Amino acid sequence: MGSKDSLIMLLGMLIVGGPYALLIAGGLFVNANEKRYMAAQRSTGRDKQRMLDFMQIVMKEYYGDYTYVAGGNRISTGRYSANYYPYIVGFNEKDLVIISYTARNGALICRNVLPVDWNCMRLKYHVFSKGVKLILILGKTKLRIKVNRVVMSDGSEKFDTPLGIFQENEVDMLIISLLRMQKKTRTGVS
Amino acid sequence: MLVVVASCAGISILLLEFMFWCLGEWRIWMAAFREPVDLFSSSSDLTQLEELDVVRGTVRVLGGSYSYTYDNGIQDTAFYFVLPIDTAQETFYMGIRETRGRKEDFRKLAVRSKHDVKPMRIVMGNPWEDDFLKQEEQVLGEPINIEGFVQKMDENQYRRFLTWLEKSGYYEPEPSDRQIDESQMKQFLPYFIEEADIAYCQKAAKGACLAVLAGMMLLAGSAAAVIFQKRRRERQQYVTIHGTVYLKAHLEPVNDLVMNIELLLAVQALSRITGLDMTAAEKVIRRWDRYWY
Repeated sequence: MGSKDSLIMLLGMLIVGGPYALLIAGGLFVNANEKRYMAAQRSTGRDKQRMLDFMQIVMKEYYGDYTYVAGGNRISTGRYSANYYPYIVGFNEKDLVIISYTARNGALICRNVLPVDWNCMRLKYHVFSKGVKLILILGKTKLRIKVNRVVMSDGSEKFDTPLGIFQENEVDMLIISLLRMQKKTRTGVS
Repeated sequence: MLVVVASCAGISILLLEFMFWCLGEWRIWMAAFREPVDLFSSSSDLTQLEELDVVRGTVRVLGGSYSYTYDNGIQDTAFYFVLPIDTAQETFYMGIRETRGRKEDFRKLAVRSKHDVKPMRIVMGNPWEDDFLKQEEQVLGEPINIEGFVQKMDENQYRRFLTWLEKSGYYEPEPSDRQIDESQMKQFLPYFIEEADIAYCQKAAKGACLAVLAGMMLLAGSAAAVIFQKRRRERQQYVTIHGTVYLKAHLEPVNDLVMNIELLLAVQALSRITGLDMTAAEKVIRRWDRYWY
């Protein structure tokens, strides 16, 4: 095989394998960034504090009535594309509040606050090893929120996952309060 | 959604018809409407014969059969019978290709020669071979009604036709040092009849025209619907929900949420803006395109 053939083969391999190599390299880079960022969050808890500060502003005098967990919902919008919607769920033994937010230039911006109206809305949930999936149902419209024990992030605002939070205790509390809410709706005993 | 389905259906139909047009099907379908030529009447002028002329008539005698192998990438052997046509002045010869499963009837009508294509049962060494060969020079079959299109032979095909005629004694080539007699060659028409169901072709042509019309109407209809919707959207300034009129600008946040597929939040926003209860607002959001054009 001549040097020209080797060059053509190399070029072909580059064309065929190049995009995959770039994709793998990109994935590894994001993964490494995420790990580094999450390690920092475990020691400082900065994002968790950011979330609580943000909630203090949004909820004002009701802030103390709720416990807060971060979650989100990924909706696929095409074969290779999906939108991620980040939410914060405020909960106590009676109520749920869903706060939709976004991050821009390092600041968290509230988009909507949705207090759950039990007169017309229903709640379903599935508990997983990683966390809990909430499904709020109003008529034929559903809102799904996945609340994980560890919310992964690399700190960037590009992928709509700006907060990296360790929230194992809060998610356990959420599951317990969901169980109590269910018992209450089934038996009517609070 | 309906517009997308209609335009896709229209495009598919038109592409299909374009494919038929490229394959030459349209030419054949349209040729089916030509006035049929009666080859066997004394008034017909065979020198005026053209490709894709419609031919109808009754065959009473055939001059034998020969094969020709097409090689257009894939080899395909076709069988032809020689059709002698007697006119007032002279006898003309052309090919005829049977395509409607009446090969045996054609064989019965053919004057056999030893250069004919043998049926497969003879080629495979069947004991009836002797019977078949004994029938040489006999015409036993009933007259056959034929209809089809006149097709032009290509150069190779015509050469094969002449070779067969020469072998079977229909035609004696001039010695190589003499010019070919043009008037003698005129007898051997470079055409063959390909049997076809003309009525079916006419039906197919009508169906194809209707399909093109339907395809164009679907496309035009969906384009008109898109333009109508666009104009209606541009004109819309108010949104009427349950009899109450709202400025379109006031419902902009609701529309943004609907476009962003955050439907539950859109329900809440609509309920807050309009004062509707959540259940009624949810029904409105589910049919949002009926309110917000």
